[in-house]
Amino acid sequence: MSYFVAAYFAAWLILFLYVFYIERKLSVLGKDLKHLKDIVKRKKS
Amino acid sequence: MREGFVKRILGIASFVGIFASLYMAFFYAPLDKNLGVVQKIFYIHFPVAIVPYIAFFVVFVTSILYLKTRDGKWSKIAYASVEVGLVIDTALLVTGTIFDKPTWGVWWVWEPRLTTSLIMWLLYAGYLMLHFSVDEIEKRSRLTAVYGIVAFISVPISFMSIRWWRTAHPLLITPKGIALDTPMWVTTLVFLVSMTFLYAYLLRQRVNVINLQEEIQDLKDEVEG
Repeated sequence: MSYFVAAYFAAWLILFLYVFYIERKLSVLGKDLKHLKDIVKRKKS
Repeated sequence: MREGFVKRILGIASFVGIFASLYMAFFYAPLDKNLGVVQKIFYIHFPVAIVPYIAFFVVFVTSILYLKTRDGKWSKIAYASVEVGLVIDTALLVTGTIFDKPTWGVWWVWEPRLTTSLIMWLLYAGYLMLHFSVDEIEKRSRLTAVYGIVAFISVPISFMSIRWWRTAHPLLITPKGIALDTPMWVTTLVFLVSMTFLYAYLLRQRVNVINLQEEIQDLKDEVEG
């Protein structure tokens, strides 16, 4: 039973950590892009 | 509009599929008479073994397409596919070693399937090292494309290893048919499809990260220049 729990826990931990990493990165980059676009807009006007 | 729709469909399909697969693995598939509950590790182990093959096949095809067209989008997809494939392949090696202990009595055996799987993992980890070691984008794309094509040789070798050499690793599809009961086989297939959806979702998101990074760099250059 412990091997079964360990295998499922390890596999999902690896996969969900990666999903979390990608989603977090996308969210941070999205904010950065919006911020930079605002700067460019202000610079042009 | 279309971008968001595809992303949502892939996300929902992976999420629902994985929950359905877990339900089937725990409650629908019968308990194995010999291995008991430990056999249920197979339902997660099998998809994380097959999906990296698909991911590395995508690398192989997109690498050829890059060399043929020199279009940077193929290079981005290849890199993203290696990264996602490698993460899933790591889950394969981890679940594999945990599965080995109660079934074979050891954590690791240097038998053909395990050894070729580890070599495949190391080869694609090498792809990432190569990617990060070259700064010039075109040179990097060209070198990684060639590497992606050559490294693909490890995929059929790993897949066929249990057929070519004597090994302790069980064979799922034999000349007599599939070595599983129908509920077990159906659960395995549902899990495989769900994991493929998850791979497609992650691949798309990873490519989006690369595109955003490029867009941000262009804007930074514009602001600074």
